[in-house]
Amino acid sequence: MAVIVPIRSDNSYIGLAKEVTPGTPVAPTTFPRWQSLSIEIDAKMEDIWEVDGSRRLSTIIKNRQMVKIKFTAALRPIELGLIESAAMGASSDTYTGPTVNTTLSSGSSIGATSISVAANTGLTGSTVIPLVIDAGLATEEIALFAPPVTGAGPYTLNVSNTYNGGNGLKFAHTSGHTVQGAANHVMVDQSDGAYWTFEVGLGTLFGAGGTTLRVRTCKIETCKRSAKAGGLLMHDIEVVGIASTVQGSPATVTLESHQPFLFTQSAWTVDGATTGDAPNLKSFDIEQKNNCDVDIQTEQLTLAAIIYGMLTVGVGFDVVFTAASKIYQTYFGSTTGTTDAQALGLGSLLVTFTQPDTLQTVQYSILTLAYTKIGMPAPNKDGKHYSLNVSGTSIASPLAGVGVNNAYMLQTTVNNTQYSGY
Amino acid sequence: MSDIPKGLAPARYIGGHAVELGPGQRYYNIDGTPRRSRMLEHGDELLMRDEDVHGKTLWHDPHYSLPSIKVGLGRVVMPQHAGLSNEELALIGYEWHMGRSDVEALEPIADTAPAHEVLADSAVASQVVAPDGEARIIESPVETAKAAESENS
Repeated sequence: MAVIVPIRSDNSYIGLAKEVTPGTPVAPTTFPRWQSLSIEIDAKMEDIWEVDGSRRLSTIIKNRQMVKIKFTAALRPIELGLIESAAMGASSDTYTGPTVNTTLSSGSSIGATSISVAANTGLTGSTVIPLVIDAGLATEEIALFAPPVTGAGPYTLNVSNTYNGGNGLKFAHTSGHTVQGAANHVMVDQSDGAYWTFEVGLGTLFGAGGTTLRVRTCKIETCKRSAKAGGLLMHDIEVVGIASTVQGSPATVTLESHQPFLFTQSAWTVDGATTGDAPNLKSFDIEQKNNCDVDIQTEQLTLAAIIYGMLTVGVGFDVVFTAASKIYQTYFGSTTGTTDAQALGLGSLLVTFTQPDTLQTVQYSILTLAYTKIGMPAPNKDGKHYSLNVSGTSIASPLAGVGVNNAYMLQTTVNNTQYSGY
Repeated sequence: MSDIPKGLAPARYIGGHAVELGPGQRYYNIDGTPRRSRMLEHGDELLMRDEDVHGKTLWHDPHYSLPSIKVGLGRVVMPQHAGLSNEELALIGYEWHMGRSDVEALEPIADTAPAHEVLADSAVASQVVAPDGEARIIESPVETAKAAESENS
């Protein structure tokens, strides 16, 4: 008896790229390593009951068809910036090139404790700084250096003795190759989003059957960043798209060669303080909902457009219960309140994840966080620790209560090696 | 270049950062030999999915009754639609897919690329593949369907 050839459920990929012309699909260039992935063709069907003397369903028609994609991934620094910019909206990225942007004046070898660079801009201070050599090449190395440079040009720049255990550079580098600081991307929420093409391969890798669907003209519906103690910084993304096309073959999947961020790499400022609850977080999430309008349908079966609706940015975190001030703040008007109060408990949030190389970072900032709910610690006879579950929502009103509204609901700042705007 | 596997085209990676080629696929150098390195850095050349290098043109029936058709690689317009504006072409069902922004083609679109390929099973054979690979399109699916309708009536 013949055996069947089943398709492995992990033979799948997701890729994306921004559409240059809205409505014109584009081949994907970024392929996050997914941890969960689903795609749904959301077809709206209508039963047609016509009175013809029988009690039989006449027919069914399809009213509308769109696509929903969900995936979860521990994003690498460059793809993280891409996804954040996609979620924030069109032209959300303000890019600033690196201050240090020079080249090697001569080649360097493995173990080199100094390099020779062509320019000294940004290298005259005395603070240890991370720089990337050979960005974009297989020999990319992010190392720590100890300015100031010496010499009159070319300049000598010492490798910090805190890098690589004091053993100098890990790779050899060729003369003329780049030496750069971090690229800086500041992204804030916009009034609407750009359109993106997503492509999902379902069982199409490893030469299997399956199918590959390219979904054009998508926008990000929700973007949730989360992490828990000891874990990875995760992104849960929900996408809505207008139309899909079956592809004849899978894309060439290309993966970013950097590491994801870890919760242990985070530093927190809660309500302006790095003490109190800030060092006691067990987990967190920041969920941005763009509340896309997916009801713009004209003569076609598919949508004519998708636009961002009202934006909400919700925050949740679990904190080890050491002080009751967050309860007072939420329900009694201030951290020292003692009775019911209508005044909102307002705070702020700032968290920075920094990779070990100290060059690649991501920072989330909420200027005014209105605390909406505190899960009161539940007495339990097991004698173990209490946790407080804190919920809040970013609001535009300034934290001080007076003055102009905040410039953003959520700001994401990414330092990485993407040397152009998203 | 006759050894190039079907559906691949020579390309140069021009992305800003080095990437790793994903598992699960075989990769080829532009001479058709297997590519051994999984690392892809700026300036590397390899064979990639041809439609990702050149883009492609699809045609979808605006009234959702005929199967979609791959008109060809790159931006192709059927001869009978030459001269129409982009808006007009879009209205009658053209959809252009752009190639990857992080690669550039090393050769023009191969002449042997199929001119027409139905994307899904079709009840009506509404396209004709040019036998010599030069005449890209002979007739449009809309006109073929109309002709079939008139014959049936």
